Amino acid sequence: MSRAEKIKSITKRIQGLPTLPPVVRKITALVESPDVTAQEVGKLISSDQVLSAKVLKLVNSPFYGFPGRISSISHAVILLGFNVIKGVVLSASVFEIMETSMVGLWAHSLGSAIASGTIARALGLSEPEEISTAALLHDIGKVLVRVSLPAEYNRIARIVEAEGRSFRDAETEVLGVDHAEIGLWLSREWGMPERLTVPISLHHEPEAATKFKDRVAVVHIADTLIRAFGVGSGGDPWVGRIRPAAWDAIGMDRIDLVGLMREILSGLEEVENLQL
Amino acid sequence: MQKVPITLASPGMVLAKPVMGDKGLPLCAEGTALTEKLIDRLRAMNVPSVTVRGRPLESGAPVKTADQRVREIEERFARVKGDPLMDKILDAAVTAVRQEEAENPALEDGEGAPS
Repeated sequence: MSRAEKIKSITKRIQGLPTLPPVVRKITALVESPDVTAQEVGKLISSDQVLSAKVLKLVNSPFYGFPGRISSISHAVILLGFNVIKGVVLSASVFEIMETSMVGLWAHSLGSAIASGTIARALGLSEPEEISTAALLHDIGKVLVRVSLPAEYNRIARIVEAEGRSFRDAETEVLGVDHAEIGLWLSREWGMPERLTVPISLHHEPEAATKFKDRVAVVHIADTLIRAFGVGSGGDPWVGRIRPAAWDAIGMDRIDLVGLMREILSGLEEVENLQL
Repeated sequence: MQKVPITLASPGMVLAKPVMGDKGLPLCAEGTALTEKLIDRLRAMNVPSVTVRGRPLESGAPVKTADQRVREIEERFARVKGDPLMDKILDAAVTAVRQEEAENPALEDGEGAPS
């Protein structure tokens, strides 16, 4: 079976695709239209109080790095831009599932987002907030497996536990594909832009990127760095290997590595108890 | 150093980081001791939490010494040992933890965690 066929056979078995609340679907559709204004998007988000609260919490968390507090949704939309807001709204919904059943993955995702934002700013890359958002969503495929294929998820977890193999290795054995490929499928299904789908699908294979190479490299590196500090769990406890080509491609050696680690540590301290 | 929700802040706690206001301007300097009045004012300004010195709140999780944290970091790197890039990252992570601990000890002297 080809990889494409495997993905297809898995996604066919996924009965209940985690559904997005209608307001989230409206927002993601709205930000695609070319003549939408920040006020319209802000108004739509504000119509859902729970969502508004979550969006404000997320935009005020340290990985977006705004010094002051952002207290209104319309201010958040203007500051962050439509693409980031779309990611934030999606994250807020997806992570409801994680918060209750996958606490470790939530912490790992938040940590990766902090590390990505810190790296992107240290390198002076453009749109660090979007890179953070891609990192926040990079393991979205794991959420889908956990929610929609619970039996397979448990088998994967048992293999990791019993045989000490990496989570991704076990996924490939049980499902024939890994969470990055499933994440790509889901993020396309949900209409995410390529600037998010590409880092989600290639965070383990940064060398395969032909677009958004910088973003893919940052998310790949952040996903690994954050494991050093034992923040949350990406499924198994080990630090993997960073691809030197990705490290060199964005010029990581320009950064003071100890300083970077310290900044990440202090960012982590600030989100220690962040829940949406 | 510990981040404390404003609802759990109490007089006598000392700020380890300045409290920042809406426009990115500091409202209270690092080193300020909290008072009842100050806490009320911060709460009225919707400040969600403050970062204070020491670990005044019992979080339930055992406080780890720098040595314990470093040992755990080394264990997580066990599978990539010998890779030049990963060794460099391990060194940086360990140095960062040591530096942080030296500046802001999580434990006061003689308050060692059970090992």
